[in-house]
Amino acid sequence: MVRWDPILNNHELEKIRSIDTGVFQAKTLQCYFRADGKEGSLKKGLDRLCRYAVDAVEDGFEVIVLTDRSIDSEHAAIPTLLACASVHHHLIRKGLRGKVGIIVEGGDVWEVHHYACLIGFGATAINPYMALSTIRDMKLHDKIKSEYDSEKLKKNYIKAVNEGLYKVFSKMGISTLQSYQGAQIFEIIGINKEVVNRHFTGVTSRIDGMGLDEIAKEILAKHELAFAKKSSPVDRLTEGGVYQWKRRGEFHLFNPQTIHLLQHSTKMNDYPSFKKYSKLVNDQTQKACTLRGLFDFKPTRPSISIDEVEPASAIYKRFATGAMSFGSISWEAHTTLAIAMNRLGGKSNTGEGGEDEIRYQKLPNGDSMRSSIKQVASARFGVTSYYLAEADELQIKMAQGAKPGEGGQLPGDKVDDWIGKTRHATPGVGLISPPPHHDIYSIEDLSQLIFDLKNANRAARINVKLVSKAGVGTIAAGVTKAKADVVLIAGFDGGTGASPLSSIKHAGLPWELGLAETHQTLVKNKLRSRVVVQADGQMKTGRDIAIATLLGAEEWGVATAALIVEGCIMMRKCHMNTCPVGVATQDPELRKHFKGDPDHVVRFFEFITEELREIMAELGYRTINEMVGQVDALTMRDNINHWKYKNLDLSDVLYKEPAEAGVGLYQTEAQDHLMSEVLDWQLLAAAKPAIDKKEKVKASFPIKNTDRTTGTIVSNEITKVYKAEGLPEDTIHFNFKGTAGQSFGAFNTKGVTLELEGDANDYFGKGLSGAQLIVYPDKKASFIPEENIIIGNVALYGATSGIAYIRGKAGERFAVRNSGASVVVEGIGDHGCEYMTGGVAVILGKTGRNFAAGMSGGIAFVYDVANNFEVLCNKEMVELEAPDKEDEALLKKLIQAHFDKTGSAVAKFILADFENQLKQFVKVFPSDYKKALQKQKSKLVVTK
Amino acid sequence: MTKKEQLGLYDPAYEHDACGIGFVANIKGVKSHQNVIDGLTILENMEHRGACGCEINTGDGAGIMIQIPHEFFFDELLQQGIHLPDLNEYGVGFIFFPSDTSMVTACKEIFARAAEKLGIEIIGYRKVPVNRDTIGPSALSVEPRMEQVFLKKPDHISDPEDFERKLFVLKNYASHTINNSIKKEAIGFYMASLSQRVLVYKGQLTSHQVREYFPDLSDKRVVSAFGLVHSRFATNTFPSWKLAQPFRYIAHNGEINTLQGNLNWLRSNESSFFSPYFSKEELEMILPVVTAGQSDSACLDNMIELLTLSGRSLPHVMMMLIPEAWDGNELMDPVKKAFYEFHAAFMEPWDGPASISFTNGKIIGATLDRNGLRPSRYCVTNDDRVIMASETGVLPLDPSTIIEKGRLQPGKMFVVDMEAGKIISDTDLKQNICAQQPYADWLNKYKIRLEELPEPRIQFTHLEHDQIFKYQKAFGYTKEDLENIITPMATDGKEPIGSMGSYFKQPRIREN
Repeated sequence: MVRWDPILNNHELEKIRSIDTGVFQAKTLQCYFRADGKEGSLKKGLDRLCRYAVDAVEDGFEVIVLTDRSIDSEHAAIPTLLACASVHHHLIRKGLRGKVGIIVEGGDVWEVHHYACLIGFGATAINPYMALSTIRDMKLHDKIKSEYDSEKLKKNYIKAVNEGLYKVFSKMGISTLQSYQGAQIFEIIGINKEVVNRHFTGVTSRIDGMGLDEIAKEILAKHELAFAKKSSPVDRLTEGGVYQWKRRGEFHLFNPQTIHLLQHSTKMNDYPSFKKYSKLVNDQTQKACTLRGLFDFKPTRPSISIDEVEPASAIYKRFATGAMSFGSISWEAHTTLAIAMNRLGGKSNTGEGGEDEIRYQKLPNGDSMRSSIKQVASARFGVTSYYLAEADELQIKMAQGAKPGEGGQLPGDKVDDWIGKTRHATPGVGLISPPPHHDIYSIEDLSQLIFDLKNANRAARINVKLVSKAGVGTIAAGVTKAKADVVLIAGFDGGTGASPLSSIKHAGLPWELGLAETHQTLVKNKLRSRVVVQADGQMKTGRDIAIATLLGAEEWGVATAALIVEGCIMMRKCHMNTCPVGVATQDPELRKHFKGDPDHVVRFFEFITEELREIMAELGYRTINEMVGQVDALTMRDNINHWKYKNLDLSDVLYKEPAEAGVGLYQTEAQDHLMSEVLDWQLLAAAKPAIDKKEKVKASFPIKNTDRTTGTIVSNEITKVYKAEGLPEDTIHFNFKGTAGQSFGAFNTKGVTLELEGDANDYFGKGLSGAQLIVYPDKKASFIPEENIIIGNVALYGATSGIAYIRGKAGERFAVRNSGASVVVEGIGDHGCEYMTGGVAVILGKTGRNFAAGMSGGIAFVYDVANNFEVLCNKEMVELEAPDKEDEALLKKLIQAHFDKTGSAVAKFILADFENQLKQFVKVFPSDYKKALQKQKSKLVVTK
Repeated sequence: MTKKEQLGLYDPAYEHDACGIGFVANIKGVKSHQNVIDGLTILENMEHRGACGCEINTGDGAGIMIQIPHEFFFDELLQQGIHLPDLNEYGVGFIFFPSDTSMVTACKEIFARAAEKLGIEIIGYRKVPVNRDTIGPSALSVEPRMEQVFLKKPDHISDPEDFERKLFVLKNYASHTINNSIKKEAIGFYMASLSQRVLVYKGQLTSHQVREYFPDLSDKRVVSAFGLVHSRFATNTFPSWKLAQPFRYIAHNGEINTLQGNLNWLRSNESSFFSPYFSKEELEMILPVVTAGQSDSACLDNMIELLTLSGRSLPHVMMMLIPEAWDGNELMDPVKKAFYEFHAAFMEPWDGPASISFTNGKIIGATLDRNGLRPSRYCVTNDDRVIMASETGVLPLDPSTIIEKGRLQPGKMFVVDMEAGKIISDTDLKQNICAQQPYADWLNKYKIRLEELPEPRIQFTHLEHDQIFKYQKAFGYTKEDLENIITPMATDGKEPIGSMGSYFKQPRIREN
């Protein structure tokens, strides 16, 4: 019985290699094959390795060390991932895997993804001897400039790997190393079925590709570089250039030449130049960068004249720009896109950063800076009743293409006063979006959020953004059943968002695969006609759009290309606030360099549409609707002869799911959102005098758990008339008796009070936007309120303003991402006030574990009678102190109000003995927030 | 899955489901018809947590588990001229047969031989009456024929647990044999339950259809001390009656993100199973424990069934499969920690958001994943009832009768022992389980600590610059890897951050 950390340093590995406890020994096996370039050599090497592994287990060894250290000029290394997975599955088949641990001593392991793959394919532990030696060597030769010695640097490196792994596990929804080991949550691209079935058994691989001999060929190419016999060995490492374009490095579709052509053509209204640009991008015969580069059109009907194709004006509405937040890109860049899309009749997207209300007013020349699509992401920045009401489409970002499963990060220096205000956050304090939506852990949760948003704006389409990966089609089917109006399949490639390099490179798949799977699965499930399918991810030309349409998308998103038209030159420095062309920066000086113009963006979409229409004419489609999902008009290019991808098999991608009679291939019917039965229609009738004439209104209603999302329609109606301001406090006062369903008071706005006698379920006060919520137990109940639970999990998630008084305990994840509401509650579960950026939380009872994790703003007060709060609090970002004079007044006011509204016994007790009881309160003060407040104060003093 | 369904990129392995779950139970184990009615009411009040397919009247699946209603079955079988023995002297199986009558006969023949092989006598079959009036066409197109089979406990078996184990062997063996031998593909023979204590009524139904579809459930003689219900939300619209829940031991809300790995580990160990409770031959009859084409929840149920029937209590099994966050938890009692650490050595968690209600007919309870990602609310009334569900308020109650309202906390468990007539708290329950064996002693004896290992026989020898350079080339390090990946990790202890995405996620498709 052994448990080790997954990364071993060299000394630790040697200890294990020579272990002998009397019952426990280790065997080292060499991973090599003959570097003779002959067919079957790699296979022979693998067979031998597996045979030896079985022998080792049968001979009684408990640990197998797989090593690639002993390679030489005639023997090349079997990649450790292949070796490890192969041995792992071979032992499973023999029923022996449970008897032995596998340790990988790998020279080819250096980035987080490598480790994750090895563990996912069964490795118990890994020793990255080459990476560690490299660090030591670079330090010795002064290539690493650091005050640390090489031991410390190696330690740091291992720490970074461990942290990176932890992130990978958690984004896959797995909480322990032990469960991740062997979980093989991967998709393989470009390896043939034979290799996958034998060595990576059970993993999805959908386009076939290389066999062992081709893999060997690739290994030998590198092996030659190191052990070349004839020519003089190469004297430097290859350049790389994966992350950023380099002259001698990897080929990028957006390179200085294509960027120049695109910018020039749209600026000068020069369609021929644009055609040159798209020819360069489309023609990938020599450089296959994308899956779609491997396709060719194969008309299934006679060509028609371009005049017979529906006009461009009918197509523009199908375009959206990508979700990039104001914050990650500059005000100028963001509004230029919005103006252009509004002129065209397409849609721009807020991204996850909220939207300045000033953009809802038209400009004097008739232009509008309002983004039609409002994004609702995990952080819920600025998601208020007004924000939701000002949308034509609400997009739930389940994942971001470039970093599926990870939240965005906005560095503190990008959060200026303006961004801070729009996001309801403190300027200067960095913002982290929580990786998941705390109100979505399951498909029925998503269904509830869709219902909430539909209540908050009945006219808006609800769009769910998914990232392309194996199984996305199945998720899309679930999302359609959860009543989304639009499902967006985003490719892996894109985004100004900052994220760890390993996620940029290794997470997510091209949209071609995800889109094809989605369309096929929806047709198979007879669901396709209920939902609009949208695709995005590095679409650059009319050809890209045409291929997306044939694979099943009737709408498309374009992000990076639009940014380039605005002036972006792909410096890939978006996360550093140093963008030299004023696109992805908040620096006022750099923003002056912004040269973008809505006209250029409009022109780009005109060009791309024109090109699309040319293809439509050639293929014989009059309308986009006719063209959606007609994948038989695509074929695999026949001039693919490179050894590496000649074995690719795209037939599954190009498979046309036969649609049963009457099953549409594009969206033709509206979803039934089941809105007719909601309680709010009664509420709305009662609220009429308040909304029409600002008269005070009071009414009572029974409520039960099937009454969900209460008060949200009423609030939407108030917002439509009174905008962000809402109604005067307590204009509408509704009393309820019973058990409220999920999302009681969600997105409720100013002027509304909901008073509940009974209890409530999850998402109480979600996105609270100014309303007052009061809840206390049934007056006939005999239990003690403060000892019992009264509201469910994830209460007040993403609340932006308003107040809530809760007599009793709440569940887990209370007030997560609160950015402005004040709440009083008598006890909460784990993860309270996580990622909070504003507002006040008063907890008159116990908290669970991990309180205040990631909290960067706002204040919490905890009544810590048991005197153990310090252990339960996550103190990484907060300081614990005693309340000061100012706090005292605030606390007293809130607790008094809590008593007045709910009759709380705890409040009564505290108030009766306030001076003494005050000593029991702990103030939770985020460190960055404290600093920012002090800065503001000193600024005030100076200006005075 | 048939061939047709696997064309293209769709793969049924990616199906997920989610739902609402709940139960009502009498703490003292008093049986009543009201508990069945209340169970169904709970189900109906969670309709919004389930889903319907491409038709409004085809649900994703719903069902209820109850205790065996002896009086009802006795009367019903008497009408067929069959005399049932006393309760606890027989087991009941709820079988989904293929709708083709000729195949039913074939199934029954094989089932009879399997029972005979295990020395179990078949008392008789009962056709389950159903009311199809409101069922959608998709669901009806694959509706199974439903029958209950009654099996006599062999005289030589005195321990009821031994009989339960025999029934388990029979269920697995008969199901495997029938699905493998009548036609080339599985014909859809399925046993929703087979037990001397519990019975599952379920199908491709909406929450509201369960009551109508099974008239049995409205018969006053159908009594039970509990009703455990489940309403399903699947990510497809392919009707599958057997994927409805509850399963034989659990109703599951959530998903298992580690399923592939869990099944791999299970498979790699299957051949070395041994148990004092099963003969070698019986163990072979059980395998494979998990069959293909099931949902993650069904696989978990199979695992629980195996572990609990091989001698562990149901709560003990739940602690093994869905452990609390114990590693690095300084607040946890060391005795409990030792239990978790000991079990971690041979059982990896089935990890993911999960709320699970479970029962073996004698105890009923619920547990929650370590992060508390699914809701579980309960209340206790002064007339000895516990109501536990994904939502509060699913069963209308007089507020003055409620003595406690709570929620399951992350990693915690809640058990009602209906035989002892009491609620057992998480603390008491786990203290009891963890004290059953000297787990901490075993750990100390067998655990190997890396830092305590003796110095190695051979020390690691550092590579020299030329060697390193050579190896770097052989393994494909680039300048970028050295400068932009490894260097920042070594200096900052963090992964580097970048932006603007990448086109390079298809190394197999790009040229060198």
